Amino acid sequence: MPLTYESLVLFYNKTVFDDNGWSPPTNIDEFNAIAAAAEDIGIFPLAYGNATWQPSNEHLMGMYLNAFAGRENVYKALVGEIPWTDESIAGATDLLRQHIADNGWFSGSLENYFANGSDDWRVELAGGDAAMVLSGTWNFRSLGGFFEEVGQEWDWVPIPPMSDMAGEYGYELATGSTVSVNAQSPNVDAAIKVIDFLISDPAMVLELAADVGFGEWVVPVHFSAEDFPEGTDERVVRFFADFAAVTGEGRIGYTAWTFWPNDPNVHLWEAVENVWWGDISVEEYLEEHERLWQIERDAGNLLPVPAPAMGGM
Amino acid sequence: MATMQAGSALPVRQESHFLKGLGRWAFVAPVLLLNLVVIVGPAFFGVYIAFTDWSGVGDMNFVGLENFQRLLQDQVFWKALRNNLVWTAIFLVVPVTLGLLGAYMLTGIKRGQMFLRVAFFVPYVLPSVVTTHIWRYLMHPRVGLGQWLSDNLGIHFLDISWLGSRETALYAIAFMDNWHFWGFPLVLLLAAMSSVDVELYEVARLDGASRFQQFRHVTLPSIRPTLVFLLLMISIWSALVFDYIFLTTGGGPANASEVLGTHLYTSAFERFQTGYAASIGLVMVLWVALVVGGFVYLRKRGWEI
Repeated sequence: MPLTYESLVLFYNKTVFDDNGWSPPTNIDEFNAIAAAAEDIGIFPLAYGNATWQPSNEHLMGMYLNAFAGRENVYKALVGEIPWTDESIAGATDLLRQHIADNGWFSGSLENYFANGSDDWRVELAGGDAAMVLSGTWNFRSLGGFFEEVGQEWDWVPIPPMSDMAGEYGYELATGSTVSVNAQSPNVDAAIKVIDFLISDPAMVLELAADVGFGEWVVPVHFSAEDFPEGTDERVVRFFADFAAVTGEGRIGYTAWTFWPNDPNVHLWEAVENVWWGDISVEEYLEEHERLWQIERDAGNLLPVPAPAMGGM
Repeated sequence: MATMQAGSALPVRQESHFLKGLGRWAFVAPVLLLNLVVIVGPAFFGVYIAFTDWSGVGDMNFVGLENFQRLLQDQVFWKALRNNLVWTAIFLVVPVTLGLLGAYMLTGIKRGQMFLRVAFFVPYVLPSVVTTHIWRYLMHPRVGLGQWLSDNLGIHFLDISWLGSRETALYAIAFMDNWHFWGFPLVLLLAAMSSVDVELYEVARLDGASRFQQFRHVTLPSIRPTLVFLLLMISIWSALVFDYIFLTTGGGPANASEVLGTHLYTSAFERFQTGYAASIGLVMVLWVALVVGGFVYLRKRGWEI
């Protein structure tokens, strides 16, 4: 069962937004408008970087795939109903290429993105040098400290749908790690009892999750806002409440590190850099991606993929 | 002449020789056993899995030369190999030259030499994770030294994203590794220079040799074995370079700083293609074997190295 149950959201510097009278974006037009306004006042629309974790590229690829191509198309590609060269996937890949390479929206330029570590982009966001960050809910653990230090405020919103194909907003499902029982263990029943004990009391589970900043411990599926321990950050509670409600309706997305087989997963985050630098086209990148997926399909290496709510376009 | 003892099948001298030999083997046996378990065994296993499709867990199927055929078509592999060669060239020249010059200059310093030796050697003992962390900030395009020089002194040419640019990433990492490494050749060469017979310098001076000529005709020939050993080790270490690149760029941007070590790591621990990773490892072993083989060949040809 999932231990770190994550998703991805749009973090923003609330102080900057309030000072400039901006509202967090709810669609691609508002997203573009905020980006333009941020550039007008001399700050980066977005902050991010992969210097300390090269696979950070997959955070962005996953978000753009789900927010542009939409959950239905990503699901179909995952189960082989459409190829990865589909124009919805190509559109998502190209939109990210435009934002990161052509527009230099992520920390100012592609060169800056590659030089930025995770602390660097958090400083840029907290210090008001950048307006927004597209990243994972594991940042609930650490983002607050950066903002407290400079006396600014942060908040989050769901990632805005970036095309008509995406339908209403949803949340990507991501499992950073799992608790599992080795089937060969001589004490399978005892191990299961331990896990049962750890997850069966929602109040205790939420206490544990709160202790590690809601990034490294499973949160129960069924809960209400009142179940959270006293003193839990309202923004965190708001996320989990909305996450449960929205994903419960099937408005789910798919993260690469949870639903991609290993080889296509690495290709997704590694070779996309060649697209951003202009070495290969989006089409060439996706053709290779499809080829690697076909190998995994032929080998029977596909992972189980939950279907989303259909007809949301 | 050998004599026989009652009840013994071996002559006394032979028995004594045999027991002595047995005693020696008994002393080295634990080391040999350890070596077999942690070096020889895994090495042979590594060679074997290079010919399989093993993922690191589960079944292992023999696939012949498939992994090596894939290597030939893998553009990232060729890029990594080229970068390893560039890295080797840089390290055979820069830290060795700096070490030679630094050591030669230090030989002329009597007071404070120990302090300078320690000062130059300190970066070598810093962990790579510390060194890369410091230099990553110094080279950062927004908060780094280049930005500061540009803002405060009007020096703009250093204000670039050293690690974020494809043109400079590999050289920037080589620079920081050089900063950490050059104290090692300096100390090694200084020790070699210190053991050179001072009479040779006196004779050279009497013959009217300049400081450079003394260096060229006395110092260099006298320290040749140390120098060649250093070049040999650098050639081997350059094939194995990993930590500085992994900790700064991971091989990026867009494989610009990819080396065999990082490509092997990604193949083994991200793609879980352990068999393929082992074939990359065998190329690294081949590199080292060629270097060592060349060294042995030159010694057999009579080179004093």
